[in-house]
Amino acid sequence: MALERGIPDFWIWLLGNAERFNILNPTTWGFLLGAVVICLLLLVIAPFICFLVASLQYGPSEAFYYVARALFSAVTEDLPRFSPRRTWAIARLAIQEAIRNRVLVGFGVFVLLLLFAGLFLDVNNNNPTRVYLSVVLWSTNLLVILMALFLSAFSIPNDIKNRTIYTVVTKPVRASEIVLGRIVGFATVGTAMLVFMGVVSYFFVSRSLDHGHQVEADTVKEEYEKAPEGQPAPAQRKLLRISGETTFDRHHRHTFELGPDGKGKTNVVQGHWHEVQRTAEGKYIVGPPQGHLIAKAPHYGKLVIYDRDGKVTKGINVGNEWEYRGYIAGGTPGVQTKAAAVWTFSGITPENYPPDKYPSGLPLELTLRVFRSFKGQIERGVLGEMVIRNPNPEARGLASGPILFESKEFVTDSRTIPWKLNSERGGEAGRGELDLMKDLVHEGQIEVAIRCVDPAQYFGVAEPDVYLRPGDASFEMNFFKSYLSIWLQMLLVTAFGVMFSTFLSGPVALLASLSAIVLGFFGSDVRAVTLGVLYGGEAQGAQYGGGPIESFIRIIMQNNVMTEMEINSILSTIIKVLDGGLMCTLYAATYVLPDYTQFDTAGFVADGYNIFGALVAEQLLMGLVYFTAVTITAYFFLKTREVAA
Amino acid sequence: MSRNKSFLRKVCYIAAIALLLLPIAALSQPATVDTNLADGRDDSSPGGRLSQLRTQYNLAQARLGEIDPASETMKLASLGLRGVAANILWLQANHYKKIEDWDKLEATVNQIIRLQPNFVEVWDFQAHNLSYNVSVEFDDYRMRYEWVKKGINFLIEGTHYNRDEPGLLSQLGWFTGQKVGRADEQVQFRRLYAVDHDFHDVIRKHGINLDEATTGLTVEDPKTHQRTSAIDNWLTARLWYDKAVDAVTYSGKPIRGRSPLLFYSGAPMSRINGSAAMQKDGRFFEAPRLSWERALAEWTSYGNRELPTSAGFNIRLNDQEAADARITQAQAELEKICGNVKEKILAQKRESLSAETKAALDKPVEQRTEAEHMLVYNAAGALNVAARDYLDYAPREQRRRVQQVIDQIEEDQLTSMQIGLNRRIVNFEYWRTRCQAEKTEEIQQAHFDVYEADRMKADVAKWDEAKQKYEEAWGLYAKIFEKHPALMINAEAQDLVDSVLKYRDLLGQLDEPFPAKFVLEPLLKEHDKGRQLLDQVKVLQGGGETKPEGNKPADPKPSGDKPADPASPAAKTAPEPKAGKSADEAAKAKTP
Repeated sequence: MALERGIPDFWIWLLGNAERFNILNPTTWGFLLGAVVICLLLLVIAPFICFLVASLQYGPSEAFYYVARALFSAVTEDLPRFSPRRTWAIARLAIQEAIRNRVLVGFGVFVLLLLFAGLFLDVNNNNPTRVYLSVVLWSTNLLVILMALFLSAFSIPNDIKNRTIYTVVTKPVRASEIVLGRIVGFATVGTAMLVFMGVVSYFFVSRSLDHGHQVEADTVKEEYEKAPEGQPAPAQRKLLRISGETTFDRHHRHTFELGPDGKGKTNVVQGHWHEVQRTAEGKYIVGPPQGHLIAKAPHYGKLVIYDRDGKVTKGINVGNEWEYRGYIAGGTPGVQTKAAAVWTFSGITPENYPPDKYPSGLPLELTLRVFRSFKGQIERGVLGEMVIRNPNPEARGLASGPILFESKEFVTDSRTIPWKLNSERGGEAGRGELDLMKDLVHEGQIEVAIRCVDPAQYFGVAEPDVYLRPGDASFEMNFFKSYLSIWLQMLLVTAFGVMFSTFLSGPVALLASLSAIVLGFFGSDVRAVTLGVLYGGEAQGAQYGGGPIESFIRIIMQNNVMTEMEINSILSTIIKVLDGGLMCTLYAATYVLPDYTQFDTAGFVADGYNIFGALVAEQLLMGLVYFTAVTITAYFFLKTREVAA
Repeated sequence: MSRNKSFLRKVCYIAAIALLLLPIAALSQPATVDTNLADGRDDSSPGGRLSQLRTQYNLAQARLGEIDPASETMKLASLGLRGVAANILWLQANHYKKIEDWDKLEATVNQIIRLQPNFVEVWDFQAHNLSYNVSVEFDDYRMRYEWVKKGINFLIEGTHYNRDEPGLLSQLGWFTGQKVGRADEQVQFRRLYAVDHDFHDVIRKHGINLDEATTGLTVEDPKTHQRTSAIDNWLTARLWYDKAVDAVTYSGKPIRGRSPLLFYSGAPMSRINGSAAMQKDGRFFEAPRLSWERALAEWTSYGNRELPTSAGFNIRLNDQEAADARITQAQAELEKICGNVKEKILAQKRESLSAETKAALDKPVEQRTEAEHMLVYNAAGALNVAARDYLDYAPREQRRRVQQVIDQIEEDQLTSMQIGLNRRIVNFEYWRTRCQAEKTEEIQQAHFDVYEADRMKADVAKWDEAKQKYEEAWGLYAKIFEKHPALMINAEAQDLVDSVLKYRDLLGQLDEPFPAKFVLEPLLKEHDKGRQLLDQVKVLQGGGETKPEGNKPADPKPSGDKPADPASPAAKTAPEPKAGKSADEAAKAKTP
């Protein structure tokens, strides 16, 4: 699985990377600093907007009074007298309202979608699990967000329009309770929908992928022990192994191999395998599919790439547009090239990897890429070697002998690093054998160096390409974590919708919430465009044609984007300044609004990888911070509105 | 009164609706097919205007191919934004290709075609993407083969949605033939394809009778470990091409994106390639001879097919000889009527040239200046004696006949020229000669000898035998090339040059010199590698002969024009250094 953002680290995410920190570039800030800045901004901007809105209606002095009173009463009245009971009453109203508004139609659409999913899903795909999981998670996400958007954006404006809000505000209910009650109510409806969708999706995926095979009798081959040369074969020969093939079902078939006990399993096709058993009557039983609904929990290491001369590098680019992987050149190691990719794994202790749980050694998996600069030996993969080293600089040269392997591309190559390794130099002098834990682990760390041995061929590597696989996490738990991400998105969309609906009319609130979602999903693209307009001219990534006002004028006047605008230079400057202001606002908004791509965990579940704990923690914290900030802002907006005053 | 008024209004509405129904029915009434009546009456209706238009332009979905509910749903669900959706999916497909996410690329491509099932180019482009671009990204040849198959399967699916589409069927022939049989991994691909029963079943289901694609060779099926009849990819390709031709013939669909010349050459060329592949697989004599015989028959029948040309008339590739013969005959008749006036016409034409041109023509070639060369070049056209020039010399009573003969010559010349142009595009003559030559016993023996010798060369104990086999083969090839010199020129003969290089290596190992007068010298002269070999031999043997008493008999730098300097191009491009060394040793052995 490609992790383009690197392996998540909660503390670096929260506090920022000290080495890359740049106060002028918010992408290098940690979340904490960003959150503080956003909160401070909100403290200044929210009252100011409230003041502007109120002053339109009552004039500046009256508006100032309202805002000041709102701020004052928030601390003195609303906060101490906040009632969860009243909030829940409002939430119940919101739930009833949502049900009255036929919100269950969304659920119906989802079920309908799944009913017909079999028609448009690519069942012939190499990895159907991935396709099925991606589709259910994606459609759940979309439907739930849309539902949250419509429910939240229209509710308060509709109440105001229908005057039903008077029946609420005339009761002793506080603005904070109305806002929170609404959010909680809609979020409860969303949660219920999500739970239903999750359960239906889980059964849909597991049922859809469930299938069986039979063994094709004429492909079965039994191998018996051969009698020593010159001797007749005994009447009772010893069975060594049975091999054969299954029937062709669901666009695939497997080969299988059974041991002398008649038990074994098939090869992995379309991401799964089956257990095969031969009964006493000589019949074969093929079990249900296994291994497709998994959640690998890899133990990743830190990667350093060395070039031909042994210098640290990013790796060679073999001409790929995608620069995710760096490539190392092949050749006789140490003679023709010093190029190597070295992973350092921490936490290699007998407690984490007890030999009784891992009797044959450390479970390692490789997902390397191969680039051939000439055809070479087609019938086999490119040769590589793996050396297990002690990272202690003082124990230089304490390393295992090279373990040769053939590359396998686009499949996971599972290997084991044995506890006892051969050494060219010897562990203790002359012993010739190394103990992995004793000789090669230093302070819980171990190095795995990979080189390409075939000259003029290349291996492509990225940090997540080599990892230890101590054991898998629960798929159901992983599925739940993915739904938690969707739930957080739903919660934020609801909160934003309610916030906008406190001071905007329904359709406008919907548009504003939708813009917030779009900016949240495509923030980095929008940022690139805004910067492009702000840089202008010859700068890299510059956008021609100016900002929205200038572009509009150019379209009307049919001006080419490369030429100067055919208008008065003063007017042109004013337009550019206005555009600059708009672009700056948009640029700031991309940082202030939540980045919804951070909540996208469908890829993990679909690819069968456990969602990192750090990622879940990041999402929860992000969700909490945004939720709180948006709720408080919404409270102030509602507070300054006439109805609430 | 008001009740009456309301009733009247309702009646008016109903009448208006009924009236409106008439033009709607006339426009959109669906077509019906009903010929199964007991009395044999045909009650089919062509339907309304729209239905008739759809039929006229072959736009009706049911006429184009299979109606897929998923495809129709997706088209409907995109609410008229089908183009936008398809664009987004194309971008996504490109993105997945960039990040090497092949499963998602495949899934996206499948969604694209559901949106645009009748856009034939999409099938073509994306099948190429899967079979050619994605397959090479995999290092394991078995995975590559799987992706080649995915592309082919994709095209097969395309033929469901676009029934009898010659372009797609022809592409199926191309992919099955060229991608499986000509890729870098052709040996592995052909081996896998031969016993890929699951895939054969898919192909069989689509109306291809694969029993016609067997070569008679039996191979071990890796699954059942039993001998099974191998299916040949080239012969399968031929069947797809045949289906494409049938589609043009019977459904009258146009050939899109390919000239008829190439389109119709697919099937016979597949037979030829299949025959050639047999020999590469180590099969000689009867089976390939029979196959080549069939290939010749199919190639001849291809030559008899009427093909359109860019000149606006149709030709048959086989007709060139007849046209040339007619031209010669007519020319003779012309000269018979008008007398031998060619020299006279030429002299007259020369007279009409400018003084400078005449002076330039009189000068020997090596003394001409650049401007004079240009004048001579330009005069060549003016000095050409055409049939029409004879008209002035025709006797009055025969003028009418001469005019007829000239017209016929000009027409035949145009035909011959067009046939020549088209023949060159498909290498018509070479393949015809090849088919004729390959079906003889002699050439089969020669191929067999070389194949055996190549094999024996790997075994030291059989070197002498290998050498003898090579030499027997060279003798046979020399005779064949004498009869069919065209066979030497084609790139296909490169394989034979490679075998000569192996022979040269073998001689080196045996400490024997490469023959000074090699029987296949004309063949070697036609190919780069062959010329390099000849140069090397000339240098080494020249050195041995010119400096027999030299102080440095082993000096690889003899007094020849082209010293065998290791840095010289000839030595540099020697295929194997070992061979060079053995040639040196051969020179050494010759010197006293």
